[in-house]
Amino acid sequence: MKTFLLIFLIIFALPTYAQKMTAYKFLKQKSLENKPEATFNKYEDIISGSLAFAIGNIGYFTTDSSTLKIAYSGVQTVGIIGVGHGIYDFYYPHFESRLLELLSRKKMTRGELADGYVGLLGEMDRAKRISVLWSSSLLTMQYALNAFISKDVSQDMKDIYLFLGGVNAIIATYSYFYKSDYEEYYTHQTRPKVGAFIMPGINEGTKAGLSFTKSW
Amino acid sequence: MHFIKPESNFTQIITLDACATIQSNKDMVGCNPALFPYQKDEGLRMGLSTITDGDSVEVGQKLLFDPIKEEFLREIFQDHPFSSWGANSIIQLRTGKFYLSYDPILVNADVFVFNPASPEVAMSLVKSNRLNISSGIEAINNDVMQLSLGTKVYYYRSEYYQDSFFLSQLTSQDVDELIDFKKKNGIAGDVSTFIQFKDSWLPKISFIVKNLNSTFNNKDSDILSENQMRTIMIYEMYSRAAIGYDYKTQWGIFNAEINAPFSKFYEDLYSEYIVGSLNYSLSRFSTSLSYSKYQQAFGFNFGSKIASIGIFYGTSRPLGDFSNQKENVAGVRGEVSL
Repeated sequence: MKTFLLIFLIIFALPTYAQKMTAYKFLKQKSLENKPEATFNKYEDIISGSLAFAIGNIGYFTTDSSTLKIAYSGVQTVGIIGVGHGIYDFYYPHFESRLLELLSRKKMTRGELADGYVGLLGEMDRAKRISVLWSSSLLTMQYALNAFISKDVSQDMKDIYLFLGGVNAIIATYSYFYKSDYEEYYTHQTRPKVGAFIMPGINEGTKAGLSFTKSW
Repeated sequence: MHFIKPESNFTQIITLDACATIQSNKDMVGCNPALFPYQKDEGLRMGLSTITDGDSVEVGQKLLFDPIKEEFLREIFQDHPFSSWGANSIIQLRTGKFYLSYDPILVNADVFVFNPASPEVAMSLVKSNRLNISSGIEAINNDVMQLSLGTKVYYYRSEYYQDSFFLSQLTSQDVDELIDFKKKNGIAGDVSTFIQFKDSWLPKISFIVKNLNSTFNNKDSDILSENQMRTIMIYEMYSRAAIGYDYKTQWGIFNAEINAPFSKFYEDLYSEYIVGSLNYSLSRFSTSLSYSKYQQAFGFNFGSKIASIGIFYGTSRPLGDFSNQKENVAGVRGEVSL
């Protein structure tokens, strides 16, 4: 019977154990592979997006050619999307390495693990929402400017800009108000807690205090 | 001399091809197939480049896509003796091993009307499509240097007209008879090498031989002749040698290159077409400036993950010393990735 048990263990239990090790290793390897690497600095997407946004605007409002106007509004749009992407990268927690960090902590309670995991999901949702909020608000503003401020824009183009502006305004409003449950929980947890107390002193007078707690 | 050439990417257009040693930009395989091992993008892309603004845009488009009419040629002669236009489109599949691309439309049009006493029209109209495959390997990577080799092989089908006629012939002859497009097809290719040293004081070097086995050739007599128009450094076999430097800072990378073209296999140096270019790029934004004796260009490109758009401005003296006429152009290149 003992021999049978041993064989059973070797056949079934060991591979499972080995698999667990591999999955952890795999996650470790993936985390290294996918680690976002800035070629120059961590603001590069925001800076290059802003450059395109600036050039797109200068070009759009100075060129007389209608074809180049369209091309420049393309540059504005791509620039704003680039800025949004940069904001996303800036806020986005690197999922694999953060999960790995969480898993490699020793002596962690179930509550702590849940806190870390829910917080991570919350942060991810928040990064997505904030980048969409920024880029669609900027796009709404941009298309409105393109339609109203610029001279010699044909009525057709004006209608297109207003339509695009409207769509972006809806997206911006939605992303301002709609928070996922995870994000809601995460922001609630990290919201600073302010407290005040007044209590009678033991010997004489009263004691008063103010507390401010914020967790990151 | 054209700004837009076969399979040209944006950097190629604004640097006037002086981009064979620029590693930092994306999409550099068009400049130099030997840069293939240093490119990481994969996926499917579609792109279109065209000259959108300039005195000749309408003329070029009409010549290529509309039936040619006598009055039209007379009009050109009156207000603009020389006109040229070019555009290309591309669908490209990028994998880690090779790039496969198809250019459905690739057009170059040049027309020159001269001799006021008895007006004569010299024209070069080329419409073609191509199927290209490019790849490259890193052959040497040691403590001293890195050397890579690249190649592009393509199958082309071209329809072209390169000849001249008198305007007066149009009254007696049909335009279709007079402007008879010839057809050529075949297989040709580029080979190239790229060398960089670990010591950053030494320059990066590149050699490219283009259009090996191409059936287009430019005879000296045709190039020098007044009544023949020829595009140079596009369809015929020619070669290039380049040296370049880069300087990387936290706020972006600067590249400088000097690129010298030669006829055939490094036979005669085209000293008038030596180009100097300066390029700056940060993340997905890049801008370049280039200068040669007859042609100057400036432009910027911005890309996101799904699309990229570039705008360029250029000025050229398309007929060189032959005529003082100047051409100012503006163009756009757009790309979508799937």
